[in-house]
Amino acid sequence: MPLLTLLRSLLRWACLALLGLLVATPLAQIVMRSIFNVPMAGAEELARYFLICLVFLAAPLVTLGGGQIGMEEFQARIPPRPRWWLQLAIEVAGIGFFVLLAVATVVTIRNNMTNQTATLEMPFWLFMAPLALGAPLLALETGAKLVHTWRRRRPEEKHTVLT
Amino acid sequence: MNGLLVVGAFLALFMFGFPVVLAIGIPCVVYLLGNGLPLDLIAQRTLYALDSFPLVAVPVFLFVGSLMNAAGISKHIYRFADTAVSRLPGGLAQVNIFGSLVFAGMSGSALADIGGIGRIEIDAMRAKGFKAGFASAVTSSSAIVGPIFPPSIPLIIYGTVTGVSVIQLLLGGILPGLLCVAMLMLMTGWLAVRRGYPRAARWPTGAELWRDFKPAAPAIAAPVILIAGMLAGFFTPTEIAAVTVAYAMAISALFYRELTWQGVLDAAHETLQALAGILLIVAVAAMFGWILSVEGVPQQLTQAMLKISSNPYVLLLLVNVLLIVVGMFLDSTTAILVIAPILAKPLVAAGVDPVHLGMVVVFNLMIGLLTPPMGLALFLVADIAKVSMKEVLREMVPYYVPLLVTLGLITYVPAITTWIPRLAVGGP
Repeated sequence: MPLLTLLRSLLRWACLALLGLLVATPLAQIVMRSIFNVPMAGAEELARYFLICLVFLAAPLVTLGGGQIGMEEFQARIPPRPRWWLQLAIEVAGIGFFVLLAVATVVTIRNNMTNQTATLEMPFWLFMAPLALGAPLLALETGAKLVHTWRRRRPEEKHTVLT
Repeated sequence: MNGLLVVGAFLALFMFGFPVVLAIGIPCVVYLLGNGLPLDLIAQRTLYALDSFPLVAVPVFLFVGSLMNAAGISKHIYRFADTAVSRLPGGLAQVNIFGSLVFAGMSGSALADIGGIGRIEIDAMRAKGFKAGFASAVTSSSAIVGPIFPPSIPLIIYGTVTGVSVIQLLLGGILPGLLCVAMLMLMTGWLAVRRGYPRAARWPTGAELWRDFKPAAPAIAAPVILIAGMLAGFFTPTEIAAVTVAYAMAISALFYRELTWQGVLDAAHETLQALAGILLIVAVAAMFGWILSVEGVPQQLTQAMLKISSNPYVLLLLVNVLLIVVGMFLDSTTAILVIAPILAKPLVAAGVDPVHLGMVVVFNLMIGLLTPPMGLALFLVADIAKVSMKEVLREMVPYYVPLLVTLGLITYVPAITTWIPRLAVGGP
């Protein structure tokens, strides 16, 4: 799926840039405040926004590789066939959850179109955009994982990847 | 569907191997929809959970841990630790513990310690003839000093969810971190004498110590500089994470000169992997916390606990027993997010200092990283050392003793935690 590969590559670079901004924003604030005595209004809000963007864009990126923390110890004791069905069920439930989260986000944006954030006066739709984008991407990646598990015809043995 | 059913459903799904995000999220969504609450709540709770400035420190500290390895800082810390303490009974096992303490001064995560300096320590110990299981046990038990000694990711998360001062929590971690290291070194010395482990042939000369201290000095100085900057008001506990990145990059450029752009990129990729796993749980757990509050679970627990006893020491004992069990099944981030806000109320009401309670909770949950079945530190160390979990666990048994003794001391001697914060920040 070249489109998915391209999407992942774009996401990866976006996340790397966001991580850089997450480090640079508080540093810029310290320099402006301590050295030039001119605190940057809204730097804190901006850093929080970068964090939100980073989490919801990085989460889909690590889903396929087993980046979501879970406990596989009890599951590992189940015989392979039912374990395979259980893994499929978990992935279907995951798609359902993330689709619902995406729908809830769209509804929230639609109900709050005139709202904006406190300091930077960011439009509400822009503030919610990382979740509106991240939730469908999480559903998409969980879907890719479901297809992968289905095609394997046997359960994944891998543990959660931590680092 | 009441609050306890949500908790029960979460535990059931978690046991069946659902990722924590889904194990928490699915019962919450069922509760909200089942009670006819608006869909907006789901999206708003999830997103607003991350709209917190202290949480910005979490990915940045994860990045510091990876960066220290990419920049070769871990290697210099290890070399200094080797020269300084390898003559002690236990040799490289003592180096392992002391190295973790120095590493802890810049990193705030146990898993970063194991994945970074832990790799070097395990390889060196195996090369000297130590069993891989023993090397893994020493590495994982000493790694929990990382999130206790400042800076610390779990303490920042604890402060965020309970409203306790993050700066006081970080300062409160200094003595417990040192105490834990002393206890682990004592146990290692005792085991070494009994088992006849090798150690360095002689103590280092002053010149040798100075030679290896110099390259490690910037890393050793980090916690002092960071804490001093924080207390002087140059930066907040949250900004400290970004300062640590800048500091790590500066000392890499000025002293070590081993950091390449590829190394920075690799460290960033590693960070993305870890942060997405942890912070997505933080986002979804906010719904869980909200439901528990609406259902009055913290209040019910407060009443139930105060019925048993209103003596803070008895309550702390109950908390410790509860958290040891919780730590076996929940990863530390989830446990802090789910349990801490519930526990804080009755304990603080009974007169327990909030900073002291924070340290007890976090230290206890860090022990949980080392207990099966959900011992993330054990998974990681077993994977790195390529040994079975059984082998690691067998060697871990003696190390639970110093960890539990430290926990007991932290619990029943509050001054170990509260003395430095009071000295530095003031208060009753």
